[in-house]
Amino acid sequence: MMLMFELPNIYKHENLKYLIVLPIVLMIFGIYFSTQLTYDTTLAGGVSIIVQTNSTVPQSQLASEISAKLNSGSPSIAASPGGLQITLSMNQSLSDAEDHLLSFYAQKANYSSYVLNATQVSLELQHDPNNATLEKQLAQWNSQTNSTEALMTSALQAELKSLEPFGVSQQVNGTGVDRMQNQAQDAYTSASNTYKENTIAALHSIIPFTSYSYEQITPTLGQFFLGQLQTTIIVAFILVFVMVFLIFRSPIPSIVVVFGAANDIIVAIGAMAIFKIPLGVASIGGLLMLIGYSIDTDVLTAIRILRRGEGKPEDRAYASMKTGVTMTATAIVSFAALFAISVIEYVPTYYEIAGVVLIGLVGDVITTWFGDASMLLLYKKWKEKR
Amino acid sequence: MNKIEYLKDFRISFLLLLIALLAILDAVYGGPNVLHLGVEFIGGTQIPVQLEHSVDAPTMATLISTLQGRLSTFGLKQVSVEGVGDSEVYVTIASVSGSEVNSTISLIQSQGVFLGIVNGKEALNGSSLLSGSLGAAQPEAIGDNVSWAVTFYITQQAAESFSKAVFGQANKPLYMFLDRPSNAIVLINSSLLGTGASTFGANQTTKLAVLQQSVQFGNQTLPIEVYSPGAGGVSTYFALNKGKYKEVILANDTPAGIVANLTADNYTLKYVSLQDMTPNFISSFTGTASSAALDSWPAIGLLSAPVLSPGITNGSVGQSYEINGYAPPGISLADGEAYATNQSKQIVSILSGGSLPVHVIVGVPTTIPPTLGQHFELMSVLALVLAILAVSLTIAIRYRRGFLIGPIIFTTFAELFIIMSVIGLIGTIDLAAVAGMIAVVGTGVDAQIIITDEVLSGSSEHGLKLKLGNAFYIIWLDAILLVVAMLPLLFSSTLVTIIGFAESTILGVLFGAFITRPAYGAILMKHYSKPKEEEPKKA
Repeated sequence: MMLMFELPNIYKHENLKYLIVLPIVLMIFGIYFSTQLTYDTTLAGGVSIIVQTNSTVPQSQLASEISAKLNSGSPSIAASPGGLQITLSMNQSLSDAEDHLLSFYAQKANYSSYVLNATQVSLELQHDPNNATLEKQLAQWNSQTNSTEALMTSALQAELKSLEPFGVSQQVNGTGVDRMQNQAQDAYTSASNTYKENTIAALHSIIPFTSYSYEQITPTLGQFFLGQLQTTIIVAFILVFVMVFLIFRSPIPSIVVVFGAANDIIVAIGAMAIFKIPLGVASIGGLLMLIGYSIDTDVLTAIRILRRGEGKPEDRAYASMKTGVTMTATAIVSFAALFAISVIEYVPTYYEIAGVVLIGLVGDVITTWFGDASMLLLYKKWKEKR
Repeated sequence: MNKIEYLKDFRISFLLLLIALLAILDAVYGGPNVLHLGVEFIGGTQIPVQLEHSVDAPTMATLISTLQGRLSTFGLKQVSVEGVGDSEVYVTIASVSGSEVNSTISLIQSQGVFLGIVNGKEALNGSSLLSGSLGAAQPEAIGDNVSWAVTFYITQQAAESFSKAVFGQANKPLYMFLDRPSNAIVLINSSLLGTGASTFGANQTTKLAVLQQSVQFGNQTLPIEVYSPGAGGVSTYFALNKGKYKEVILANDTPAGIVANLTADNYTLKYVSLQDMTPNFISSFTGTASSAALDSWPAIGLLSAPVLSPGITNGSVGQSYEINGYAPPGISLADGEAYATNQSKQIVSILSGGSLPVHVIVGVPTTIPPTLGQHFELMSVLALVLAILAVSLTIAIRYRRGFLIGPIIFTTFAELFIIMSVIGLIGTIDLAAVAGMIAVVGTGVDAQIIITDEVLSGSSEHGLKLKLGNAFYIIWLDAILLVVAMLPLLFSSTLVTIIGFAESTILGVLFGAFITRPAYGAILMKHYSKPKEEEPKKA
């Protein structure tokens, strides 16, 4: 048999406890570095542009030229032989304009209801002319309508003011709520498009490229995605824990198995921070997959150590390790293929998924075979003694 | 032992049968593009639409169906509208052309144009209504009758012109149009008018007369041309009027010969579905006699035709109106209520110009050019092939048994083929789905390793069957746990761009654990229950 699979039987070691230290140290490292994790535009908001180019302009030069041309902060650039991904933070004028547009809409809703109330009261007045209460109400609704219209005008003006850098006309096109609404919508859309065109034109003047993909995500939406991503992971953990508990009917093996999966994720996140692999919406696939792969080997080990009778538990643990390491190795190999392709020919979705799984699986080898297997063996021995 | 022995095992033959079946389905339903690929591969544009505020699930559903309806009636092919959480919608079109993207955006932003016509004259239009005054009353059951009602206010100015338009038109229909075409000829197959004296005692001629009334609108009347399926060419009407009308509205099953003639006459063709071209007639009672009345004809945007009650056609001017009706008799109370709710919803939607329930902000479209898509596609295929090769190589080195490589590669390819066919036929293969397929290659091989290790494991006092059972106990547990871990993502309404990953891993793991991997186990059993001399046992 080949040397690479000639693993020593570490489980014959007298003090199994010491083996557990290693995954715990990894976990502490993971937690420490996880604070430096970076998010891509899907979670942080901003603009991300992928261009297919074989330009060899150095990245630092590219970054400073882009920031000079676009009057923006320094972009982050990821390069690969096939192309570039340029990430810009969200343009402040656009995001201000969006806030003003939203407040315009909120006022519009109020406006409609005031107009309706005024009409209802005036209809009642037709049946009951000279009713003082109704007349007072009508005056009140009419004045509310007028003041709301004024608020809408000022929201529109504020939006137009924010969009001034994009050459948007500052003139409010006459009165009328519907006309104002059209203007407010059109101004935002046309400014966003102008920003996009300017950005692409600026890039064109710096590097040659033929095709590109442009994606803009507002910071609020990014925040929302991040929250959903966290919820999804937590719900997945709870479901998995419940299932594992139903299978083993005993808390300790269940906790050990779930500890393995959680540790893999923590290690993966820490390592992503160190290697500057950003977390994005696509990473959720990788993180959940990591739970799956981690549990694969953990369940195998737990069942072989706790439920089988042949041979000594140490030998069964060792046999499990041989099977499990092969399993993880093949998973590593298949994701390495995906990762290699995503790096060489920039494909962001693959980069984010494969990066997470790859690093997590390396961590899984240590967590499962030093941590989980040792804990399960100790548990088995403790139970046998009783 | 010969090859036939393998086929005798039901697990192996079932797998082969499934593959054959999917291959046939791929060939039959796949069409020229074989499988549905996402915009990331074929190129396309995704337009993010942000809602003014978050909405509840029913509002989101209304919004999505309104948008879908609007976009598809304008002849945009391959539009998908999906909700992202409760305050965002993605509209995806399979086109990167600037003009199509811009017209989609303006369709999303703009409202439809409502027009109410009575006796060929405009009675109401979109700006007649006071926005916010539209209200649908709860369906009300009186005995067996379920009634519905929609109330609204119109402006003072509109009230006056409405009262003039409807004067003396008691019991006549108010034709309610949304985005009524103009300058167009309607071409309809005579078979859609029914054969012989059919509905409500109306024959083809009377029905056509009813249709002719509905298209009257001063000089914007839409001519109707009827063709008979067997008659061959198109009438000379089109040749005579080719300068006068620009567009022809026709069903998408119109014979090619007719279409060729129309194209030759330089008409713009606006296709509608056969269902939309079919006019919906209802029976109407005037006095004692019943006759056929037109209820809707989606091809020309005629969506409803309530009858004017005599009380409002006497010249009085009013600002408050109600459109009401009853659910058809003879259906259950629950069905009647559902019908009533649906009716009032539809009327509200028409009167509000098909507008969206909340204001929206259209974001900057994300465009994936087809060349980039092809690049992604090529890379994905490469990644899949590389993953399989790398995994097979690892297995070969680990076990050093030539026999194993064949079954492992076969099982892995079978698993991939099954996922691709199923997702490609009923869903969409996107980048996330392909990443999921690679993950499945990983778990699939993991399962094969567990099976192989158990089958080849030292102690021979255990029967092969028991060993296989042990292996599958672990494999099935793993499969269930992976599915459970992926469920929150599968049902996520927010992380839609990555749901494909959950779909392909869950499908792959289920097909794998219950079909392909048992087949692999069966192959190994057949092989290793043979006399030992072929494979010397290893320590």
